[in-house]
Amino acid sequence: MTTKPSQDKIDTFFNALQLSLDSRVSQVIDIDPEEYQNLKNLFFVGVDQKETDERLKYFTKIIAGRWLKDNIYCIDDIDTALSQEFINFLMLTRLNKENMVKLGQIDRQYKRFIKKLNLEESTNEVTVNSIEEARLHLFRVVEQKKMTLRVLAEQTKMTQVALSNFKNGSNIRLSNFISLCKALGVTIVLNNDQGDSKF
Amino acid sequence: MIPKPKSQPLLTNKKIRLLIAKGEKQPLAVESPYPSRGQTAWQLLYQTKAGRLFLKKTSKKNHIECCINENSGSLAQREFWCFCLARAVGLPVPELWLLDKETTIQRWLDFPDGHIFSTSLGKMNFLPQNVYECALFDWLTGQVDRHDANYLYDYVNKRIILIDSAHSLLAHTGSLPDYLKMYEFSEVNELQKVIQTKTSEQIKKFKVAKLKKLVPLKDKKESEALANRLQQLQGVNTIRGIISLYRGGI
Repeated sequence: MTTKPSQDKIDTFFNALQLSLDSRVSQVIDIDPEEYQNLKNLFFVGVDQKETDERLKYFTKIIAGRWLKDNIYCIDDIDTALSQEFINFLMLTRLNKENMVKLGQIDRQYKRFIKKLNLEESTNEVTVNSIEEARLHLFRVVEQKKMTLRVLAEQTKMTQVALSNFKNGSNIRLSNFISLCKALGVTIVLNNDQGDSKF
Repeated sequence: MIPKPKSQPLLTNKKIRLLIAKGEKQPLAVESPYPSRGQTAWQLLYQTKAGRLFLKKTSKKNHIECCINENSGSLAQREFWCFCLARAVGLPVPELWLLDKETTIQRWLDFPDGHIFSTSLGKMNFLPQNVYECALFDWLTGQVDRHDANYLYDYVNKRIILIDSAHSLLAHTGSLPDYLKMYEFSEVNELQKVIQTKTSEQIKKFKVAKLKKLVPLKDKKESEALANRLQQLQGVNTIRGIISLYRGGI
């Protein structure tokens, strides 16, 4: 931890974490210095654990740390835990599995949290080199989601005829292609030597 | 997470009270109170065997500040009547129980509200059918407080979930619900499209007598205003149509 976080930041973190867990959490300030000499200046979360709290397990997988006894979790990666990014992640997903998977699809910046959980679809990336490959992939997704062309047309504002034509090999505008990807929750990544650009 | 609207409640009031009594109070925040723009004196979150339940208790002061005639229907009662109405027309909303005239319990859902989502992530993408149904419902119930923290956003299914509908069923109407304002600006081409869903038809086909039974407002003006709003919906079949009602028919 580089600088000591403000109490406001800590409160915000605990607020978000409590809303995400079934177990009760609290900030632990008084750690026995004799017993935990090497753990000074680290961040401790008191946890009144519930055995059935799946989300607690998610939290400890995402935020590196260790258990001191059964009810105190010592966070090693404090910068990540108290980052606005992680707090937003908690508030948006409440560590609900389905929400987390979807959020990773909507915004790539959250994928790094989801990858630590090995959730389904978290690393489902396909490289395509032609419009044909892209078309096949998209309509595979349509089939997986059991979506009709009518529903897809409503969500993309394209006509069913245009979608059907695209499915059968016609080209579509780039703007329509992007709408189609968005409707299906498919993220386009442009890869070059300077790194990824999310699209 | 949201029960099928027409199913019977899974839990009775008696069971809910027991769950709350045995439940564990969870702080909504450790140091500072959870940001609330509501009209409630108390807001308490409980972790119970049946999941997370949210208790809200209002006070006389709340009613005065919100200009609610408690004798016609308290804030808690209005919220409960809106819940019953939503279930009757098939609009998915969180389960809600009326414990007494001041107190409701609501099932807590794992979605951010509109404010949190738009602040953290940005634009919400709504489905026109969902917007239409919610807007019809908010117009019918004379909702005057649909700001961005009074609906949840299920971003997995791109769905608005209406919550905190207490400030409603008055003799007057309010301004456009927040989601409707956003939709109007962002989806101009969708506003004039005719929409017909099972829920929208259920709302419009409601009989006045049944509506008054479900929403037993004691104030005559409020009751008549409710019936009038139902009547006004008969000619509406687009989102533009609902917006026009809010703007006085313009």
